[in-house]
Amino acid sequence: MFKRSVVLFFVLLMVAGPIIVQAKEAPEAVLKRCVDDVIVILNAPMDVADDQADARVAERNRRLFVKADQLFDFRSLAMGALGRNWRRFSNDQKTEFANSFSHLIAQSYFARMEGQDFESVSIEYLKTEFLAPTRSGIERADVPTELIHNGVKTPVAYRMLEREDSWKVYDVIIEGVSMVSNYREQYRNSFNDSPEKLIAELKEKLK
Amino acid sequence: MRCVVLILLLFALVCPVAAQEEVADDLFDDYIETGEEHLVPDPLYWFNYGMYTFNDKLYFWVMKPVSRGYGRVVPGLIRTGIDNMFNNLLFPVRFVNSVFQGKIRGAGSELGIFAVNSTMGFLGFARPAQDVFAMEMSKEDLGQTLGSYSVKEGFYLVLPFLGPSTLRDLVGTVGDSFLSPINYVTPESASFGLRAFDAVNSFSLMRVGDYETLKQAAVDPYVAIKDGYIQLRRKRIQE
Repeated sequence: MFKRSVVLFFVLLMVAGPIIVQAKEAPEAVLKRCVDDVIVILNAPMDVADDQADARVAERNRRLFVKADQLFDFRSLAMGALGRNWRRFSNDQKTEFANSFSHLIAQSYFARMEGQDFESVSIEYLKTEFLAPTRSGIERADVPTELIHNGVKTPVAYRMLEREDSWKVYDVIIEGVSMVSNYREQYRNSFNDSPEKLIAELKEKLK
Repeated sequence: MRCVVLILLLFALVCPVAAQEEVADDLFDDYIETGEEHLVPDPLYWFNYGMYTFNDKLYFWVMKPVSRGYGRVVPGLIRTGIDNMFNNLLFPVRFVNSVFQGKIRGAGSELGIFAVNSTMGFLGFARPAQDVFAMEMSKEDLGQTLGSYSVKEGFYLVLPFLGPSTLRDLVGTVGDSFLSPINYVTPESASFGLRAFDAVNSFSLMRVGDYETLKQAAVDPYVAIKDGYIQLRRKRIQE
Protein backbone atom coordinates (compact mmCIF):
# COMPACT_ATOMS: atom_id res chain seq x y z
CA MET A 1 0.00 0.00 0.00
CA PHE A 2 2.78 2.34 1.02
CA LYS A 3 4.86 1.51 -2.02
CA ARG A 4 1.91 2.05 -4.25
CA SER A 5 1.26 5.49 -2.88
CA VAL A 6 4.91 6.39 -3.37
CA VAL A 7 4.71 5.29 -6.99
CA LEU A 8 1.47 7.18 -7.39
CA PHE A 9 3.10 10.26 -5.93
CA PHE A 10 5.95 10.12 -8.44
CA VAL A 11 3.61 9.44 -11.33
CA LEU A 12 1.58 12.46 -10.30
CA LEU A 13 4.75 14.52 -10.04
CA MET A 14 5.77 13.49 -13.52
CA VAL A 15 2.38 14.38 -14.95
CA ALA A 16 1.86 17.53 -12.96
CA GLY A 17 5.45 18.72 -13.29
CA PRO A 18 5.19 19.91 -16.87
CA ILE A 19 1.88 21.62 -16.08
CA ILE A 20 3.48 23.58 -13.28
CA VAL A 21 6.33 24.49 -15.59
CA GLN A 22 3.83 25.63 -18.22
CA ALA A 23 2.37 28.22 -15.86
CA LYS A 24 5.63 30.15 -15.80
CA GLU A 25 6.26 33.86 -15.76
CA ALA A 26 5.68 36.02 -18.81
CA PRO A 27 8.90 37.32 -20.45
CA GLU A 28 8.46 40.91 -19.25
CA ALA A 29 7.82 39.64 -15.69
CA VAL A 30 11.09 37.66 -15.71
CA LEU A 31 12.95 40.68 -17.08
CA LYS A 32 11.45 43.11 -14.60
CA ARG A 33 12.16 40.83 -11.64
CA CYS A 34 15.82 40.38 -12.59
CA VAL A 35 16.39 44.05 -13.46
CA ASP A 36 14.79 45.12 -10.16
CA ASP A 37 17.10 42.71 -8.29
CA VAL A 38 20.11 44.16 -10.10
CA ILE A 39 19.09 47.72 -9.20
CA VAL A 40 18.71 46.74 -5.54
CA ILE A 41 22.25 45.32 -5.55
CA LEU A 42 23.58 48.44 -7.30
CA ASN A 43 21.81 50.83 -4.95
CA ALA A 44 23.13 49.20 -1.79
CA PRO A 45 25.43 51.84 -0.26
CA MET A 46 29.11 51.05 -0.37
CA ASP A 47 31.76 52.70 1.71
CA VAL A 48 34.52 53.32 -0.77
CA ALA A 49 36.95 54.68 1.81
CA ASP A 50 36.89 51.29 3.48
CA ASP A 51 40.18 49.40 3.23
CA GLN A 52 38.19 46.35 2.13
CA ALA A 53 36.56 48.30 -0.71
CA ASP A 54 38.12 46.09 -3.37
CA ALA A 55 36.82 42.92 -1.76
CA ARG A 56 33.37 44.46 -1.48
CA VAL A 57 33.29 45.50 -5.11
CA ALA A 58 34.38 41.98 -6.07
CA GLU A 59 31.65 40.47 -3.91
CA ARG A 60 29.04 42.78 -5.39
CA ASN A 61 30.18 41.98 -8.92
CA ARG A 62 29.91 38.30 -8.12
CA ARG A 63 26.31 38.76 -7.00
CA LEU A 64 25.58 40.84 -10.11
CA PHE A 65 27.03 38.11 -12.29
CA VAL A 66 24.82 35.46 -10.66
CA LYS A 67 21.81 37.65 -11.48
CA ALA A 68 22.99 38.31 -15.02
CA ASP A 69 23.50 34.58 -15.49
CA GLN A 70 19.88 33.95 -14.47
CA LEU A 71 18.56 36.50 -16.94
CA PHE A 72 20.87 36.00 -19.93
CA ASP A 73 21.30 32.94 -22.08
CA PHE A 74 25.01 33.57 -22.51
CA ARG A 75 25.57 30.47 -24.63
CA SER A 76 23.02 31.61 -27.21
CA LEU A 77 24.44 35.14 -27.04
CA ALA A 78 27.92 33.78 -27.75
CA MET A 79 26.55 31.65 -30.58
CA GLY A 80 24.95 34.70 -32.18
CA ALA A 81 28.09 36.76 -31.69
CA LEU A 82 30.34 34.21 -33.41
CA GLY A 83 27.96 33.82 -36.35
CA ARG A 84 29.20 31.24 -38.82
CA ASN A 85 32.38 30.77 -36.78
CA TRP A 86 30.32 28.92 -34.15
CA ARG A 87 30.18 25.67 -36.11
CA ARG A 88 33.98 25.51 -36.30
CA PHE A 89 34.19 25.29 -32.50
CA SER A 90 34.21 21.97 -30.67
CA ASN A 91 31.77 21.54 -27.82
CA ASP A 92 34.44 22.31 -25.21
CA GLN A 93 35.61 25.33 -27.15
CA LYS A 94 32.04 26.61 -27.35
CA THR A 95 31.72 26.33 -23.59
CA GLU A 96 35.07 28.00 -23.01
CA PHE A 97 34.26 30.81 -25.43
CA ALA A 98 30.77 31.38 -23.96
CA ASN A 99 32.28 31.55 -20.47
CA SER A 100 34.95 34.11 -21.33
CA PHE A 101 32.51 36.07 -23.48
CA SER A 102 29.98 36.38 -20.65
CA HIS A 103 32.74 37.58 -18.33
CA LEU A 104 34.00 40.14 -20.84
CA ILE A 105 30.51 41.64 -21.15
CA ALA A 106 29.95 41.53 -17.40
CA GLN A 107 33.36 43.02 -16.58
CA SER A 108 32.96 45.90 -19.04
CA TYR A 109 29.48 46.86 -17.93
CA PHE A 110 30.09 46.38 -14.20
CA ALA A 111 33.06 48.75 -14.46
CA ARG A 112 30.72 51.21 -16.21
CA MET A 113 28.20 51.04 -13.37
CA GLU A 114 30.81 51.88 -10.79
CA GLY A 115 30.01 55.13 -9.00
CA GLN A 116 26.81 55.75 -10.96
CA ASP A 117 23.67 57.07 -9.35
CA PHE A 118 20.93 54.54 -9.98
CA GLU A 119 18.33 56.18 -7.75
CA SER A 120 17.36 58.47 -10.60
CA VAL A 121 17.01 55.74 -13.23
CA SER A 122 13.51 54.75 -14.17
CA ILE A 123 12.53 52.03 -16.61
CA GLU A 124 9.25 51.81 -18.44
CA TYR A 125 8.22 48.42 -19.79
CA LEU A 126 6.30 48.69 -23.04
CA LYS A 127 4.09 46.05 -24.61
CA THR A 128 5.81 42.71 -25.23
CA GLU A 129 5.79 41.64 -28.84
CA PHE A 130 5.84 37.90 -29.49
CA LEU A 131 7.86 37.02 -32.58
CA ALA A 132 7.19 34.11 -34.89
CA PRO A 133 8.91 30.96 -33.56
CA THR A 134 12.03 29.85 -35.42
CA ARG A 135 11.90 26.90 -37.82
CA SER A 136 13.11 24.62 -35.05
CA GLY A 137 10.24 25.85 -32.87
CA ILE A 138 11.92 28.23 -30.40
CA GLU A 139 9.43 30.74 -29.00
CA ARG A 140 10.73 34.32 -29.00
CA ALA A 141 9.62 37.69 -27.70
CA ASP A 142 10.81 41.30 -27.81
CA VAL A 143 10.37 43.33 -24.64
CA PRO A 144 10.80 47.02 -25.52
CA THR A 145 11.64 49.33 -22.62
CA GLU A 146 12.49 52.97 -22.15
CA LEU A 147 15.30 53.84 -19.81
CA ILE A 148 15.02 57.35 -18.44
CA HIS A 149 18.06 58.91 -16.81
CA ASN A 150 18.48 62.65 -16.19
CA GLY A 151 15.58 63.38 -18.51
CA VAL A 152 17.17 61.47 -21.39
CA LYS A 153 15.09 58.63 -22.81
CA THR A 154 16.95 55.66 -24.29
CA PRO A 155 15.04 52.85 -25.99
CA VAL A 156 16.38 49.46 -24.89
CA ALA A 157 14.77 46.30 -26.24
CA TYR A 158 15.43 42.83 -24.83
CA ARG A 159 15.08 39.89 -27.19
CA MET A 160 14.15 36.78 -25.27
CA LEU A 161 13.72 33.09 -26.00
CA GLU A 162 11.74 30.46 -24.14
CA ARG A 163 13.77 27.88 -22.27
CA GLU A 164 12.28 24.93 -20.38
CA ASP A 165 12.65 26.69 -17.05
CA SER A 166 12.27 30.35 -17.92
CA TRP A 167 12.45 33.09 -20.54
CA LYS A 168 16.01 34.26 -21.16
CA VAL A 169 17.56 37.27 -22.87
CA TYR A 170 19.73 36.52 -25.90
CA ASP A 171 20.15 40.00 -27.39
CA VAL A 172 19.97 43.60 -26.17
CA ILE A 173 19.09 46.31 -28.67
CA ILE A 174 20.01 49.83 -27.54
CA GLU A 175 18.72 52.65 -29.76
CA GLY A 176 18.31 50.16 -32.57
CA VAL A 177 21.86 48.81 -32.22
CA SER A 178 21.83 45.07 -31.62
CA MET A 179 24.64 43.81 -29.41
CA VAL A 180 24.70 40.40 -31.10
CA SER A 181 24.81 41.90 -34.60
CA ASN A 182 27.60 44.20 -33.48
CA TYR A 183 29.78 41.31 -32.29
CA ARG A 184 28.82 39.27 -35.34
CA GLU A 185 30.20 42.01 -37.53
CA GLN A 186 33.40 42.10 -35.45
CA TYR A 187 33.82 38.33 -35.84
CA ARG A 188 32.80 38.23 -39.50
CA ASN A 189 36.37 38.47 -40.73
CA SER A 190 37.78 36.00 -38.20
CA PHE A 191 37.05 32.96 -40.32
CA ASN A 192 40.74 32.33 -40.90
CA ASP A 193 41.59 32.52 -37.20
CA SER A 194 41.58 29.30 -35.20
CA PRO A 195 39.03 28.89 -32.39
CA GLU A 196 41.98 28.68 -29.98
CA LYS A 197 43.17 32.09 -31.13
CA LEU A 198 39.73 33.69 -30.71
CA ILE A 199 39.43 32.25 -27.20
CA ALA A 200 42.95 33.41 -26.30
CA GLU A 201 42.08 36.92 -27.59
CA LEU A 202 39.05 37.08 -25.29
CA LYS A 203 41.08 35.88 -22.32
CA GLU A 204 43.70 38.51 -23.03
CA LYS A 205 41.00 41.21 -22.83
CA LEU A 206 39.84 39.81 -19.50
CA LYS A 207 43.21 40.29 -17.80
CA MET B 1 8.07 -1.98 -7.78
CA ARG B 2 11.12 -0.30 -6.31
CA CYS B 3 12.66 -0.46 -9.72
CA VAL B 4 9.84 1.60 -11.21
CA VAL B 5 10.25 4.24 -8.52
CA LEU B 6 13.95 4.36 -9.19
CA ILE B 7 13.47 4.79 -12.92
CA LEU B 8 10.96 7.56 -12.35
CA LEU B 9 13.31 9.28 -9.96
CA LEU B 10 16.16 9.03 -12.40
CA PHE B 11 13.97 10.41 -15.15
CA ALA B 12 12.97 13.35 -12.98
CA LEU B 13 16.62 14.08 -12.28
CA VAL B 14 17.72 13.86 -15.90
CA CYS B 15 14.89 16.08 -17.15
CA PRO B 16 16.21 19.48 -15.98
CA VAL B 17 19.63 18.67 -17.43
CA ALA B 18 18.16 17.89 -20.82
CA ALA B 19 16.31 21.21 -20.65
CA GLN B 20 19.61 23.12 -20.76
CA GLU B 21 20.50 21.63 -24.10
CA GLU B 22 21.76 23.83 -26.90
CA VAL B 23 19.18 25.80 -28.87
CA ALA B 24 19.19 25.28 -32.63
CA ASP B 25 21.36 27.77 -34.49
CA ASP B 26 18.47 28.93 -36.68
CA LEU B 27 17.83 31.34 -33.79
CA PHE B 28 19.87 33.94 -35.66
CA ASP B 29 18.61 33.28 -39.18
CA ASP B 30 16.89 36.66 -39.27
CA TYR B 31 20.06 38.53 -38.38
CA ILE B 32 20.44 39.59 -41.98
CA GLU B 33 22.68 42.55 -41.16
CA THR B 34 25.66 40.35 -41.80
CA GLY B 35 24.59 39.48 -45.36
CA GLU B 36 27.07 40.80 -47.93
CA GLU B 37 24.46 42.96 -49.70
CA HIS B 38 23.83 44.89 -46.49
CA LEU B 39 27.45 45.75 -45.86
CA VAL B 40 28.76 49.26 -46.17
CA PRO B 41 32.12 49.08 -47.96
CA ASP B 42 35.20 50.68 -46.47
CA PRO B 43 37.52 51.46 -49.40
CA LEU B 44 39.29 54.23 -47.47
CA TYR B 45 40.11 51.89 -44.60
CA TRP B 46 43.62 53.24 -43.97
CA PHE B 47 42.51 56.87 -43.99
CA ASN B 48 39.54 55.99 -41.79
CA TYR B 49 41.65 54.00 -39.40
CA GLY B 50 44.03 56.95 -39.10
CA MET B 51 41.15 59.32 -38.38
CA TYR B 52 39.71 56.83 -35.89
CA THR B 53 43.05 56.83 -34.06
CA PHE B 54 43.21 60.64 -34.25
CA ASN B 55 39.71 61.02 -32.78
CA ASP B 56 40.50 58.46 -30.12
CA LYS B 57 43.56 60.44 -28.98
CA LEU B 58 41.62 63.69 -29.28
CA TYR B 59 39.04 62.22 -26.92
CA PHE B 60 41.50 61.07 -24.27
CA TRP B 61 44.08 63.86 -24.53
CA VAL B 62 41.96 66.93 -25.26
CA MET B 63 38.19 66.62 -25.08
CA LYS B 64 37.99 64.58 -21.90
CA PRO B 65 40.34 66.71 -19.74
CA VAL B 66 39.10 70.04 -21.16
CA SER B 67 35.40 69.24 -20.78
CA ARG B 68 36.06 67.84 -17.30
CA GLY B 69 37.79 71.03 -16.20
CA TYR B 70 35.02 73.10 -17.77
CA GLY B 71 32.43 70.92 -16.04
CA ARG B 72 34.04 71.60 -12.66
CA VAL B 73 33.84 75.35 -13.14
CA VAL B 74 30.41 75.71 -14.72
CA PRO B 75 27.38 74.25 -12.89
CA GLY B 76 25.45 71.47 -14.62
CA LEU B 77 22.25 73.48 -14.78
CA ILE B 78 23.92 76.20 -16.84
CA ARG B 79 25.67 73.71 -19.11
CA THR B 80 22.35 71.97 -19.81
CA GLY B 81 20.79 75.37 -20.56
CA ILE B 82 23.58 76.29 -22.96
CA ASP B 83 23.23 72.93 -24.67
CA ASN B 84 19.48 73.55 -25.02
CA MET B 85 20.17 76.95 -26.62
CA PHE B 86 22.53 75.50 -29.21
CA ASN B 87 20.02 72.75 -29.88
CA ASN B 88 17.21 75.25 -30.26
CA LEU B 89 19.24 77.09 -32.91
CA LEU B 90 19.31 73.92 -35.01
CA PHE B 91 15.54 74.17 -35.45
CA PRO B 92 15.81 74.94 -39.21
CA VAL B 93 17.67 71.65 -39.81
CA ARG B 94 15.03 69.55 -38.06
CA PHE B 95 12.11 71.51 -39.51
CA VAL B 96 13.25 71.45 -43.14
CA ASN B 97 14.18 67.78 -43.02
CA SER B 98 10.87 66.83 -41.42
CA VAL B 99 9.12 68.62 -44.29
CA PHE B 100 11.36 66.94 -46.88
CA GLN B 101 10.41 63.57 -45.42
CA GLY B 102 6.72 64.42 -45.52
CA LYS B 103 6.47 64.35 -41.74
CA ILE B 104 4.07 67.26 -41.50
CA ARG B 105 3.05 66.53 -37.94
CA GLY B 106 6.71 66.31 -36.92
CA ALA B 107 7.45 69.62 -38.67
CA GLY B 108 4.50 71.20 -36.89
CA SER B 109 5.72 70.10 -33.48
CA GLU B 110 9.24 71.36 -34.29
CA LEU B 111 7.73 74.75 -35.08
CA GLY B 112 5.74 74.64 -31.84
CA ILE B 113 8.79 73.66 -29.76
CA PHE B 114 10.87 76.44 -31.32
CA ALA B 115 8.18 79.06 -30.71
CA VAL B 116 7.54 78.03 -27.11
CA ASN B 117 11.17 77.50 -26.07
CA SER B 118 12.46 80.66 -27.76
CA THR B 119 9.96 82.79 -25.84
CA MET B 120 8.89 81.10 -22.60
CA GLY B 121 12.18 79.21 -22.43
CA PHE B 122 14.38 82.35 -22.54
CA LEU B 123 15.90 81.93 -26.02
CA GLY B 124 15.87 78.17 -25.69
CA PHE B 125 17.73 77.99 -22.37
CA ALA B 126 14.85 76.03 -20.82
CA ARG B 127 12.66 73.49 -22.57
CA PRO B 128 9.08 74.11 -21.42
CA ALA B 129 7.77 72.64 -24.70
CA GLN B 130 9.20 69.23 -23.79
CA ASP B 131 9.13 69.45 -20.00
CA VAL B 132 5.70 71.03 -19.54
CA PHE B 133 3.80 70.39 -22.77
CA ALA B 134 5.36 66.96 -23.41
CA MET B 135 6.14 67.71 -27.05
CA GLU B 136 8.80 65.51 -28.62
CA MET B 137 11.76 66.79 -30.59
CA SER B 138 12.79 64.75 -33.62
CA LYS B 139 16.35 64.05 -34.66
CA GLU B 140 15.91 64.57 -38.39
CA ASP B 141 18.83 65.59 -40.59
CA LEU B 142 19.65 65.62 -44.30
CA GLY B 143 21.48 62.28 -44.19
CA GLN B 144 18.25 60.66 -42.98
CA THR B 145 16.20 62.56 -45.56
CA LEU B 146 18.45 61.20 -48.33
CA GLY B 147 18.19 57.74 -46.77
CA SER B 148 14.41 57.96 -46.79
CA TYR B 149 14.68 58.68 -50.55
CA SER B 150 16.50 55.30 -50.81
CA VAL B 151 19.95 56.87 -51.22
CA LYS B 152 22.41 54.23 -50.01
CA GLU B 153 25.30 54.96 -47.63
CA GLY B 154 27.91 54.78 -50.39
CA PHE B 155 30.92 53.96 -48.25
CA TYR B 156 32.08 54.38 -44.69
CA LEU B 157 34.01 57.47 -43.63
CA VAL B 158 35.61 58.60 -40.41
CA LEU B 159 35.93 62.38 -40.26
CA PRO B 160 38.43 64.21 -38.07
CA PHE B 161 36.62 65.80 -35.06
CA LEU B 162 33.19 64.67 -36.30
CA GLY B 163 33.67 60.90 -36.08
CA PRO B 164 31.89 58.13 -38.02
CA SER B 165 29.96 59.03 -41.17
CA THR B 166 29.27 57.79 -44.67
CA LEU B 167 29.45 59.46 -48.06
CA ARG B 168 25.69 60.06 -47.91
CA ASP B 169 25.81 61.43 -44.38
CA LEU B 170 28.75 63.69 -45.24
CA VAL B 171 26.68 65.22 -48.05
CA GLY B 172 23.93 65.59 -45.45
CA THR B 173 26.23 67.26 -42.94
CA VAL B 174 27.47 69.76 -45.54
CA GLY B 175 23.90 70.48 -46.67
CA ASP B 176 22.64 70.90 -43.11
CA SER B 177 25.47 73.29 -42.29
CA PHE B 178 23.78 75.86 -44.56
CA LEU B 179 20.75 75.70 -42.26
CA SER B 180 22.76 76.17 -39.07
CA PRO B 181 22.67 79.83 -37.96
CA ILE B 182 26.01 79.54 -36.16
CA ASN B 183 27.76 79.08 -39.51
CA TYR B 184 26.56 82.56 -40.56
CA VAL B 185 28.18 84.29 -37.61
CA THR B 186 30.94 86.68 -38.73
CA PRO B 187 33.87 86.89 -38.42
CA GLU B 188 34.77 83.31 -39.28
CA SER B 189 36.82 82.96 -36.09
CA ALA B 190 33.79 83.78 -33.93
CA SER B 191 31.77 81.15 -35.73
CA PHE B 192 34.53 78.60 -35.21
CA GLY B 193 34.83 79.55 -31.54
CA LEU B 194 31.12 79.08 -30.98
CA ARG B 195 31.23 75.64 -32.56
CA ALA B 196 34.18 74.60 -30.40
CA PHE B 197 32.40 75.93 -27.32
CA ASP B 198 29.27 73.97 -28.27
CA ALA B 199 31.40 70.83 -28.63
CA VAL B 200 33.10 71.19 -25.24
CA ASN B 201 29.83 72.08 -23.55
CA SER B 202 27.87 69.14 -24.92
CA PHE B 203 30.85 66.88 -24.26
CA SER B 204 30.79 67.84 -20.60
CA LEU B 205 27.18 66.61 -20.44
CA MET B 206 27.96 63.24 -21.96
CA ARG B 207 28.03 60.32 -19.64
CA VAL B 208 31.74 59.91 -19.08
CA GLY B 209 32.77 56.34 -19.66
CA ASP B 210 30.38 55.31 -22.41
CA TYR B 211 33.15 55.39 -25.00
CA GLU B 212 35.57 53.62 -22.67
CA THR B 213 33.03 50.86 -22.00
CA LEU B 214 32.36 50.42 -25.69
CA LYS B 215 36.06 50.03 -26.33
CA GLN B 216 36.59 47.71 -23.40
CA ALA B 217 33.71 45.40 -24.36
CA ALA B 218 34.65 45.27 -28.05
CA VAL B 219 36.82 42.63 -29.66
CA ASP B 220 37.58 45.06 -32.51
CA PRO B 221 36.65 48.63 -31.49
CA TYR B 222 37.01 50.06 -35.02
CA VAL B 223 34.49 47.58 -36.43
CA ALA B 224 32.27 47.89 -33.34
CA ILE B 225 31.97 51.67 -33.87
CA LYS B 226 31.45 51.33 -37.62
CA ASP B 227 28.69 48.75 -37.23
CA GLY B 228 27.11 50.64 -34.33
CA TYR B 229 26.98 53.83 -36.41
CA ILE B 230 25.48 52.07 -39.46
CA GLN B 231 22.86 50.26 -37.33
CA LEU B 232 21.90 53.48 -35.53
CA ARG B 233 21.50 55.46 -38.77
CA ARG B 234 19.45 52.72 -40.44
CA LYS B 235 17.16 52.57 -37.44
CA ARG B 236 16.67 56.37 -37.47
CA ILE B 237 15.91 56.35 -41.20
CA GLN B 238 13.35 53.60 -40.67
CA GLU B 239 11.49 55.70 -38.12
